[in-house]
Formats: sequence, structure tokens, C-alpha cells
Amino acid sequence: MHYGLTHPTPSPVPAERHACRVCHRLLLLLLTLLLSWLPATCPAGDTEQTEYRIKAAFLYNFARFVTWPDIPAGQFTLCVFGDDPIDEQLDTLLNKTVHERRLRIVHLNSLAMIGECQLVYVGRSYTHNLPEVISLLREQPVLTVSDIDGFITSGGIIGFRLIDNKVRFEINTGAAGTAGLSISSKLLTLATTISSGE
Amino acid sequence: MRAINNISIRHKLTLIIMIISTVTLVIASFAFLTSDRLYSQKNVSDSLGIMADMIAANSAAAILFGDPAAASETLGFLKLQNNIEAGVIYDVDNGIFAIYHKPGMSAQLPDPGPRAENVMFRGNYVELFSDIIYQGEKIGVVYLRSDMRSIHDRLVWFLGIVAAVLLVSLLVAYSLSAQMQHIITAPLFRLSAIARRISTEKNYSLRAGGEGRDELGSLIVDFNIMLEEIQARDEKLKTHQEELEARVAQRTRELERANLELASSKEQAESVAKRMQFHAHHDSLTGLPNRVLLNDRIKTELAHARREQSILALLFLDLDRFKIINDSLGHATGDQLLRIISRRVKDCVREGDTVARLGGDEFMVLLPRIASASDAGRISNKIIDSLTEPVSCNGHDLHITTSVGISIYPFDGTDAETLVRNADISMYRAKELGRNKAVYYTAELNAGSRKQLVLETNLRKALERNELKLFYQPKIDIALNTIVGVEALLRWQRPGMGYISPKDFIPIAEESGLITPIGEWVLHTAFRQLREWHDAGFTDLTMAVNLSSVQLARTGFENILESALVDSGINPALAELEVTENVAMKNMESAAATLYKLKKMGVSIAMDDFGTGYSSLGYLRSLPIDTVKIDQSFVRDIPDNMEDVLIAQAIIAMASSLNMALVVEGIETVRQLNFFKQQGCRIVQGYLFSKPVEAEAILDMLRAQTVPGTINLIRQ
Repeated sequence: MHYGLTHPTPSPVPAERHACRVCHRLLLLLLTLLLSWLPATCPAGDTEQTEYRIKAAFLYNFARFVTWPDIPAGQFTLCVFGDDPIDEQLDTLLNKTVHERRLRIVHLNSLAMIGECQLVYVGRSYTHNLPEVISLLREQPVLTVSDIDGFITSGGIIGFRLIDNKVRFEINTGAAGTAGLSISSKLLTLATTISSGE
Repeated sequence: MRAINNISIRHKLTLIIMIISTVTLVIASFAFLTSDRLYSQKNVSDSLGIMADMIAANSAAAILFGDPAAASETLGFLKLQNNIEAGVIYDVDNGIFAIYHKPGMSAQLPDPGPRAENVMFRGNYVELFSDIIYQGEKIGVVYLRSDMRSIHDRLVWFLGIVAAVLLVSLLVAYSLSAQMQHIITAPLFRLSAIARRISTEKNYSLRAGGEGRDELGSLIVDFNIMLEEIQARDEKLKTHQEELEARVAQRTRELERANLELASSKEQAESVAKRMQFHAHHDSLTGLPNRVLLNDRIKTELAHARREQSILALLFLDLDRFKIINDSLGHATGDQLLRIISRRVKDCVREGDTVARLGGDEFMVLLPRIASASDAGRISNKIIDSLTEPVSCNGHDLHITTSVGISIYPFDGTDAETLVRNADISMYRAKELGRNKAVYYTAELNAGSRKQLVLETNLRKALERNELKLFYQPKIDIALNTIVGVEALLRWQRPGMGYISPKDFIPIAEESGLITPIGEWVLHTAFRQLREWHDAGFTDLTMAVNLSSVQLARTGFENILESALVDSGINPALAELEVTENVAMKNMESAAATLYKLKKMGVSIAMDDFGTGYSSLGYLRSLPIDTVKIDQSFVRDIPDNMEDVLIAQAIIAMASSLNMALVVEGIETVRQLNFFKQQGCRIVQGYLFSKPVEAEAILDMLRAQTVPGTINLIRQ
């Protein structure tokens, strides 16, 4: 698993993996041909896919570096608002555990079920409802994550950013404090920006 | 080891202490260094572990969020650790996630794959792998590598310290032991000093001082106890010595006194001893040396003679007929005679010669260093001559003669025993030769005497073993041509040796005295045989038996004859006793007396071998002779030898004139027979008719009334 998109030193790859990569290339070629035929809804599908795979992994890791005051026993619920490319990558997180609870992934199209979520990812398609979501979840122990620009300044807690084609993130510690969540300092040291404003 | 034994105890102790402290220190240092090294290693691995844990904790988020820059920052603090050469963070796929190494170091990085140990000491460096685990999930590996130089430096430093400590300890141990060994050696030195003083001063009252109850203390106590014992013994010795000296002084005084007494008694003792010795070596009667002293002198002189190659003679003297003098005139006279004789003999010899009395009438003269063998004969004759002079003794004038046997060294023997024996043999020979003679020893004498001895021994046994036998030679009446009588002749048949001639054994029998029993046996046997023939019907047959002079001389012969006559029961007139002319001549008076006695008993007497002796006719007349027998020595050469013819004629004439019967012996030829026939002789015997034969043959002849081989001849 490679986190960096362009790793400077190619690590030794086992032969089977190498063969798989050839398969991938062929698959990608077919896909490109297919996409070029289709309307260009997703002009840079390959890069975007990788980016969201990383973001999905980050979502899981964020949950591990954040402490919730209270989580219902049995399951940890990750809620995704709106249609978002991340949806396709979340399958890799199935069967994982967070804080000794099974990870459950829930797609929400309304705010009705939002009270059961511990982590909420807000997709770009949900940008218009963002203030409503933020206000609704203020003072709720829910970690909010999104790649919408200016998310943390809008009152979200962790926001994705792409810097030099690398997925990085920024943290609003004030919002986290309001929500009653404590964020590990280790996570904080990795954040590109930390803001404490509301 | 010997080198160690030779050094002093002081140095031994020091050496032991030094060795022990060195060994102890080295062991302790080794243990210390080893534990320090182990501790240092643990320290290093512990600190590396802590660092790795720290890096793992601080880099977990960076790994999870794919932030190598953050991880590198985490590794950045390793710069402060001087000994860390490299630090690496691997991601979960063992790819290098972040790396640090010391400037100037380009370490070859290991593969963090499966491994046995997390910490590995590799000589110059130590390396450590530590998994990065976040919430139970392994997300990467930390690798740290630290050099060991600090540990090595530390080891070198410690070694230096240990060496210094060792040196100091040895110095301290040496100086301490030099002081403390006195504790042990000082009492020993004192002990040895005391021992040396005691041995030089001989003062056993000295004592070794010492305290303490250790082994040395008990050694000193034992030493002192030993000294006490020695002192006690020494004192006891001294008292003993004083007592002894006192006793010796007393004994010396006593001895001096005793010596004075002894000096006087010694003189007495010496004279007694001298006398004793004299008696032991001398004959008490004559005062001459005895056999013991003589043997001594012979041996001494033999030794001289051997050395000087000189000649030595032994004379064996035996007085003739001394026994008769002794028996008839008494011992006192005999003793006096012996004394006179010994004086005479002594007068005949030189100063250095020895005259010894061997006992009885036997003397021995030892003549050493004579010029020649003839000297011995000369001296012998001198002795014989001097003894021939009549000896006036107790009113008797005694005529004594002596027989002397001479043996000469080196001719007749080289040792005392042989010389004495040979002188003895020679003396007997002298007696045989007619007494009053000296005879030199010859080898033949020896051989003869030896033969004689053997014969004598065997003769004794002959009687017991019935080896003696009587043969009979017939006497023929040539006028009637019949056997008128027989002469009994003794034969000795030795098993395996044939017959032995009476000439050989009769002298021995006479000398040894065996003649008495033999003669008795002959008489009995012959008479019994005659009785058998008489019983067989030949009642006129006569039996002639020869008598020896010795037999005749013995007293009591009449009794023997009597018993033989009575035993056989024959008519004594038919028994004839033949005596030789010499028998009658030797002891004329007694012989005559005996013959008369015999004659009285009814037997007739014949004179055998008539003509060989020198008997006078007058003497012959005085004897009761019935018959004379002409000796065969005259008969042998008749009729050729004129002289023999004349003698025979003379004898025949004499017998006729004296009215004696005549028998001719040894007729072997017809010519002899004819001669004697012409001379008027009637009775003859000889081989011409019959040799002596056994009794059975005689009986045959009697029965046949023939004389074998004669009738024809007589007819001629």
C-alpha cells in the first residue's frame, strides 16, 4: 500500500505483484477507452481514485487518533453524507475495528439519523447543506471530516487538502473541543494547519 | 618442586600468600569484568530498546498518515546520541520509510524480515529491531545500530584499573606477609636455636619457650617433653656410669688380690697340666711316648721329610715269646723286663729318634733324617743284638729276642697310617721267617697280608656255610692189592672260586686260631665217615687224619679227640693221627707229652712228610711214632735221582730198624711203584691209584675190591 502517489524510490516488488500491476495497466487502458467514449464526467478517474483510497484510509486513522467521550457499545458508525467518490473506496474499511468496536459505514441522505454517527464525512455534493450539518453537530461528540474547501473555517473539525499532489489535512482544535473530542498530539503534529477559531 | 622445598619457610609463606592473592584477584577481576561487560551490553540493548520504543511511538502516526518527513524528524534526535550509527523506520511492507545515519557512515542496511533475535551483538556494533505496533497492529519496524566502542573503551579502562589494583594488592600482600610470616617462623627459629644449643652444649636442662595453643605451641610442648625424657635418661646414665665406675674400681681391687692368689696357684696348675700332658702322651710303665705322641711325631717328621726330601724309617718291634715270660714269671717281672728293654732300645738310637711303646710287647721306633734305607736295617740289627744279651731280672736270666719290621718313607708309604701298617706287616714276616730278625717291607708282603686277611674272613664263614669238605685218598697194600685205609684231606670249596689248597688256608687257620674248630670238625667228620664204612662191612679200614702243630699245642686237644672217638664209636686202633716232622720239632717236650697222651688213648701216630725236617733219629725215637710217611718230594724223582733214592732207602731202613710201619706217598708212576716194591714197601698212596675222592667213590672202590687202574699195572 502506497500512500505517496509518487514515491521516489520504488521499493522491491514481488513478481506476482508486478504481474498484477501489468493486469492493472491493461484494465486501466480498457477503462480509459471506455471512459473516452462516455461523457467526460470524470476526466481524471485514475488519480482521483487513488486520492480517495488514501482519504478513506485517513478517515479510519483519524478515528484511531481521536478520543470520544462516549461511544455506544458494539459499533463505531462512520456516516457519509452525499454522493462522493470516497464511497467506492470505503469497502476496504469493512471488517475493521475502531476503539474496540466494529466499524459500520452508513450513507446518509438526510440528517435524521445523524445522532448515531461518531464520524461524519461530508462529501462535496453536500456542500450546500454544510452549515446545517455543522450547526446540527456542534457540541455533539461527532468528528466531522470533509474535503470541501474552507471546511474547518466553516466549523468542521478536520479538512482534507491536496498539497503537492499529496493528501494532507488541517485540524480545527476549537471545534473539536466544542464537540468534546480530544485529538492526539501525534495527529496534530502531522496537520498542515491547526486552527482554534470557531 | 625440589626448588620450592629448598627455600626457607619464610619465603615459602610469602610465595604462598602472593600466589593466593594473585589468583584471587585475577579470578575476582575476571568475574568483575565479565559481569561488567554483560551489564554494559544489557545497558546498551536496554537503551536501544527504549529509543526504539520512543521512535516507534512517535513515528506511528507519521507512518499511518504516510508522512516520512515527520518520521525523519522523529529520528532526528538520534543525532544527539553519540554512539548511534544508524536508525531506520521501515513501513509494514519492509520498505524504508525514514532513515538516519551518522555523518560519514554509509551503513549497509539489513532486511528487517523474519529474525531470531531482536538484539544482535556483532563485535564492533550492536543492532536492534523493534516492531512498530499501533493499537495491536504492526505498522512498521524500527532498526537501530549502535557502535560498541564505548563498551570496549570501558573494558580497557577497567583492565587498567584491575592491573593497578593487582599490583598494589601484591605489594601490600608482600609487605604484610613479610611481617606476618614471623608469627609462624619466629617460634620455629627459636625452637631450632634451642635444639642447636642443646646439641653443642649438651645441656639437656634447656627448654624452648613458647605460648599459644596452635600446632607450633604443641610442637614446642612435645619438644620440651622429649627434652625432659632425654634429661632424665641422661641423668640416669650418669648415675649408672658412676655406679659402674665404682663397681669397676672394686672389681679391679678384687682382681688384683685374686691375681696374686692365682699367680701361686697357676704354678701348681701348670705343673699339674704338664704332668697331665705327659701322661696323655707317654706310657706310664716305661715313660716312653705312647701311640698318640708317636703319631704326632710321625706326622711332624713326615712333613719335615717331605720338605727336606729326606728319608724316614719306622721300625715295628715285637718281642718274641714275651707272653710266655709274662704268664710264667708274672706281670711284675714282665713289667721290669719291658722297662729294661725300652732303655736298651733307647740306647741304640740317636737323640732325635723316637722310641714309643704301643702297648703289650710292641714298640715302634721312628728314625727321621736317615742317610739311606740301609741305616734302618743297621739300627734294627743293633737293637736285636742289644736285646739278645740275657736280661737279669728278679733273679732270672731271661733270653729275649725280637722281630723287627721296617718301612721307609717315601718308598713304603707316604702317610703315617700306611707306614705303620707296612712296618707291622714286615714284623709279622720277620716272625714267620723265624724271629729275631729284621725284615724290610716289600710290596709282596703287603699283597700277601691282604690276601691272608681276605682268606681269614672267608674261612670263618666257611665252617658255618659248610664250604669245607673232606676228601679221602686210599692207601693200598700192594702185596694184597687191597685198600687198607684212607687219608682224610681237607678241601675248601668256595662258591665260584673252586677248591682252595690247604697249603694256602691252613696257615691262616693256624694264625687266627680257626684251626681248633676246623680240626675238631675234621676229626668228627672223618671218624663218622669211617664208622659208616665199618658199618658197611669194611671193618679193618683205617682212617688217617692230619694234625696241625697249633692244634696239637693247644691244651685240651685230647678231649676233642676223645669226644670224636666216642661220638663215632670207632675202634681207636683204626684211627691214625698224622703229624709233620716240624710239628714234633717245634715244641719237643710238650709235643712229645701230648703225643704220648694220644697214644695212650689207643690211636696210632704217623709222622708225615718224613725227611723234610732235621729231626735227629734220637729225637724221633723218643716219640711214640707208629708209622712214618716218606714225603712225596723224595718220591717225585725216584728212581732217576740218585740222591733221592739214597734218602728213600735210608728212611726205609731207619723205619725198619725202629720197627715203624712205612707209607709211601705221591706214587704217580709205575716205575716209582716198582722201586718201592723192590725196597719191600707194602703200603702206598698216590695218583697212580687214586687221587683224593669223595666218600661215595671210596665206598664204590671198597665194594668192588678193586683199586682203579692199578691191577694191570701191578701185574706188569
